[in-house]
Amino acid sequence: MSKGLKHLVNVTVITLVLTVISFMAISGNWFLFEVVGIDTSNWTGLVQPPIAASEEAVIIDRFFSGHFWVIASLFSLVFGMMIYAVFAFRRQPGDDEDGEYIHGNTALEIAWTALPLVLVVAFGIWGVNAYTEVVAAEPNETTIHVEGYKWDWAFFYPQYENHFDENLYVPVNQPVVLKMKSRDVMHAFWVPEFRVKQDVYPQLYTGDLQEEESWDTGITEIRFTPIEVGEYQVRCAELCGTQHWSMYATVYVLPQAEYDEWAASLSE
Amino acid sequence: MRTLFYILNSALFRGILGQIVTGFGSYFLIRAIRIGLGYDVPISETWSLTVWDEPSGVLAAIISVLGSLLFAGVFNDWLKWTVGKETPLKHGSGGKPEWTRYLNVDVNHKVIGIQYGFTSLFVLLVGGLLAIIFRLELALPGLQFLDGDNYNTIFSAHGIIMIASILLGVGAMINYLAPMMIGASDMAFPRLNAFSYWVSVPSASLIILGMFVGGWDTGWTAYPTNSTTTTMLGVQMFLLGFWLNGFSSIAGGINLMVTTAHMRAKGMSLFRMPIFVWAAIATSFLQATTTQTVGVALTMVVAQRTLGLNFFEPATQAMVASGIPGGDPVLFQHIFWFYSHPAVYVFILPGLGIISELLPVFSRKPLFGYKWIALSSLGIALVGMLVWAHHMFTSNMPDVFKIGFMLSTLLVAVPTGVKFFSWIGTMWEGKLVFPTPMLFVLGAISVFLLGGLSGPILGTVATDIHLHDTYFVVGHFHATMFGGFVFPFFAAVYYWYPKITGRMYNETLGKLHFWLMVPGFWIMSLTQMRVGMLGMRRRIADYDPNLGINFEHALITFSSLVIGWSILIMLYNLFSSARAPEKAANADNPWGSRSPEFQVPSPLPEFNYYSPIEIVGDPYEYGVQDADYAIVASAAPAAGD
Repeated sequence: MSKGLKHLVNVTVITLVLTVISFMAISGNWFLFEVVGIDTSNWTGLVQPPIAASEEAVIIDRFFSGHFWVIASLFSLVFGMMIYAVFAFRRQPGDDEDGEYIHGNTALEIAWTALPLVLVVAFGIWGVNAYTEVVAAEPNETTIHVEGYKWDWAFFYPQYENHFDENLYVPVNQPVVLKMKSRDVMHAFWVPEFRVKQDVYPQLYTGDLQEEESWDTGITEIRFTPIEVGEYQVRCAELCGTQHWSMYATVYVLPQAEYDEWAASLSE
Repeated sequence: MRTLFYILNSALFRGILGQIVTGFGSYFLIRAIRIGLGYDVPISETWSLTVWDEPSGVLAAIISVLGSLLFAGVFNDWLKWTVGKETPLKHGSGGKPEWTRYLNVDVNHKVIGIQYGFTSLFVLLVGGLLAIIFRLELALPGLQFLDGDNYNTIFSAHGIIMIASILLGVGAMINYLAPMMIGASDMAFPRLNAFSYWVSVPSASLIILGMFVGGWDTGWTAYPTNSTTTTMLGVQMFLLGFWLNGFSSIAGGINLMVTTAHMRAKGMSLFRMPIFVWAAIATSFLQATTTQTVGVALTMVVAQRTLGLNFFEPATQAMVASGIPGGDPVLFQHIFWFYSHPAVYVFILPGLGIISELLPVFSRKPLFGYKWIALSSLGIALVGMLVWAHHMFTSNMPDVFKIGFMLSTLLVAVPTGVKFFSWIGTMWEGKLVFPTPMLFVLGAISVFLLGGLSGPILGTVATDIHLHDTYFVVGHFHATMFGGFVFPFFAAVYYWYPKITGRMYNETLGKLHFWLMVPGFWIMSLTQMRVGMLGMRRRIADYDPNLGINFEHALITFSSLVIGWSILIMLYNLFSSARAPEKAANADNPWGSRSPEFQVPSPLPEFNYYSPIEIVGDPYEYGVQDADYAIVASAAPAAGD
């Protein structure tokens, strides 16, 4: 085997091995270990997302995984080749020669411009599909009104005569849309386990002059369908002053029966 | 004693003194006038640092900038022109010790480059100290010694101060290197060049002052309506200081483009320039064309606060009833990011140019695909102007904008990839050696790879929605900034150190700096990305202990301390090595570079070359017998020639 070919074979093997290892380490999906029967459910990944508690999170996590594969392979390719070069091509003692006179290679240049372009297009298409799926309006959405203010959240339930609560109560597996505005400066609504986030603005007045506060214009919307019963934190995700850091609220995702009990208790 | 005299007489001292005198003087004068005219001034709070008269302070700050520049003497030649006086360019130190040049208005591009470099490092230390302060706070959950307001001020200042440091470092590299790399004796507009540097002194002063006159809680991004309504008045000093810095970029960008257009040596066609000059051109194009928009955005915020002009406050019923149209906070974001995204390419293009410049020398091989690399810098600059709204994916922009900006953002990966692959191509089958500059180049590539690969995941809208405003973004941009600027800047400092000073730095300390800083940095970046993905937001004084990231924070803080110490080691190395009494034996061309500046003795003569140089070949023909590049006279021509 010529020296050049030997280097390429070495690099290919290193890249493939490093890709699999770094994908598993980044994503927390230790699939090779699972395949041989080791239980990795308590293992973590370097940049592993929290639990997927909404339908949107499932879609987005699949997309994250695709990204992690590309990151792992490109990292392994470039970093792997760089470290390989550091060892394989270091100047040996006593060698005063210059390196190989290689100016460039047009075929390679075209290849490493075209292939990334293909990846860009592929992820662009995936990105369009994922995004439109995540923001799509569902039939039978429950609407809840949200007002952010320095430094807390207020929830109003139009279904229950605009009942006010400091926290958000939703039934599991039902699509929800929040219509949101701010009482003062920009805030942002985020629940990491749901993976969705939306900026919240002081209301842009675009309605009728005679109208009372409108919940249909000048607001921003966020949609999610929770799939895991539990308690989650809403975290303000736009710097809004002194107590931005502690601007929290709790989301209670309840089984249908418990939710119905909660709703009934409101009219007492 | 003489030293003290020179310092007190320097432009630096006069400029700072001038800023203080004119600033405070005009503040109290204008305030008194406003009180006399019956305006609503917080009279009882004459000496309060947090409740001061905002309009007076804004006007005083503007006046203080002019005062600073006038007292420093930056405008002297231009003022003389207005009365018809001739002003030959003054070269040399005028009989005073050489070091005094660096404290005064000097037109030599190498002096200005060093001034930029020193100021960049000083500002880096200030920004770094701020980071250490809030990292100590964040090491444990719970508020330890900071509160919400001063935490917000400290990280906001850290952001803009580090940006200032990077811009100064970019100025250092471009101003020092570009003219001599093209065989020129200076930039096309030497006095404008001096002005570009000196503007940064009052700019940095205003920003630092802002921390002490109320602080600010808006981040460096200053989004309305927080920035337009906050009662933390230091925000005005920050806005004005940031605004002022723009002049440095715009003037410097124009200067470099004219210089490379008109002052290249005989025989130096565009594709025979050292590759760093291509990077400088792409950078300068961005600086000269986009900086204006952030100036507009900042002006609008200042105007809304000080003059009541409404750009960003949405209409309330009352406003509509009185016929006042409303504004839109998102307008600010568009105008702000139209500059601030290309700005990050301004930060990294020169550093990536340094990597391309140094790799052939330490591989003894031609730069792989020189033309493609040159054009990729332009490609990044051009595509980089079309991606700004990827900072706004959670805004109320129409979906079609979000999709469009997602596609353009992903596209930037293509010219960037060309660079990475070309760098590997340059190293492949070379004869590699690893002195400190090369170590930092390799460190830069690895860290920029990490940062760059965490880009596309932020560029696709669906994944960005989760990651926006989290520590993942913080990890991404620290990695790209360190990989694209900080490590290449350090590589450049070590690489050209013998050329600048005629001395050699200490190689052991250089390696120690590297081995502390790069692993420390890797750990810090990856951990920042981890906690962001897990649910930690940016810009928060304290984090939720239920996120289970306490250990990660201790780790990030520890790494930041390691990084800080490594930089102190570098500074010690640079300063102590410069005091060597004699010129180092290998100081003229320790690396065996083919670049023109390494063919003349170190330190460089005043006008760089003894006679005009001529280019007769390509720059990176390592491995080819008798492949000349630059014909450079190695000594001054004898008297009478």
